[in-house]
Amino acid sequence: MKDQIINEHESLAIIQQMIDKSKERIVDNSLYFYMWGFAVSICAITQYILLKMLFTRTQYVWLLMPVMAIVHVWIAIKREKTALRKTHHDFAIQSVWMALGIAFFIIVGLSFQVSFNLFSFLILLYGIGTFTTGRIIQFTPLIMVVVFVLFYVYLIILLMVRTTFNIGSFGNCSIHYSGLFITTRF
Amino acid sequence: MRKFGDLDPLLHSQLCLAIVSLLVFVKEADFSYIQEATNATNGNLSVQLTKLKDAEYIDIKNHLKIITQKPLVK
Repeated sequence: MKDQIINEHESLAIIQQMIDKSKERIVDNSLYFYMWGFAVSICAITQYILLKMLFTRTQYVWLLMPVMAIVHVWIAIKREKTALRKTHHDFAIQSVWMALGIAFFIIVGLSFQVSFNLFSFLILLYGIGTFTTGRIIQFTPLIMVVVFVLFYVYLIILLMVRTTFNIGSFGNCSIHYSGLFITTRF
Repeated sequence: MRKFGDLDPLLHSQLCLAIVSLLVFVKEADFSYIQEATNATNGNLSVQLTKLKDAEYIDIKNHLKIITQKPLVK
């Protein structure tokens, strides 16, 4: 592109060209979904096995979550240094998950003081994040919505049946398996 | 319909318009990304980015990251 003075038709053509360019080369952020999907699956399956083996205090397997949060932030900082671009979508998604990250810590902290069904609230937060992300990137939003809705079905069943949260743990994994769908999309 | 102000004459240049149009949709971009998108030469692109920076349409962080700063029309 040269530095020439242009008329209005050329201006519109340039603007359209740049719009199309900006939509190309979607950055593959599926790594984060995979990472969290596997981490949550490992924690859930491990806890399930430990419970079946009649161990107590099995909830400590979830201490992997803050470790994963630190790993996530470290990877994100490294990637940002070499990133070629950052779109408004990236900024929006980042903001949503930052807010949810803070909310997770607050909710977990509260759970030491007040007795409530912590897991339900964590699933709710996961659902909000996944649903919002799916809508922002316009990624086959039905999949995110279906996953989100499935979660609420699990949640309702959990609340009504008052069973152990084993079923909920497996249910939680499926939100993160949405990472697999995102990879195939991009 | 609201009456818009006139576009800055600086943006009548092909490359300048391309840069700011790209940055409207991409919040922050690397020099190499803009170069690839506009097919401009290094020197030409640097000159136009400097003009846009002086006019405060963009800001350049760490000599590489270009971000938008002010609206294109008032």
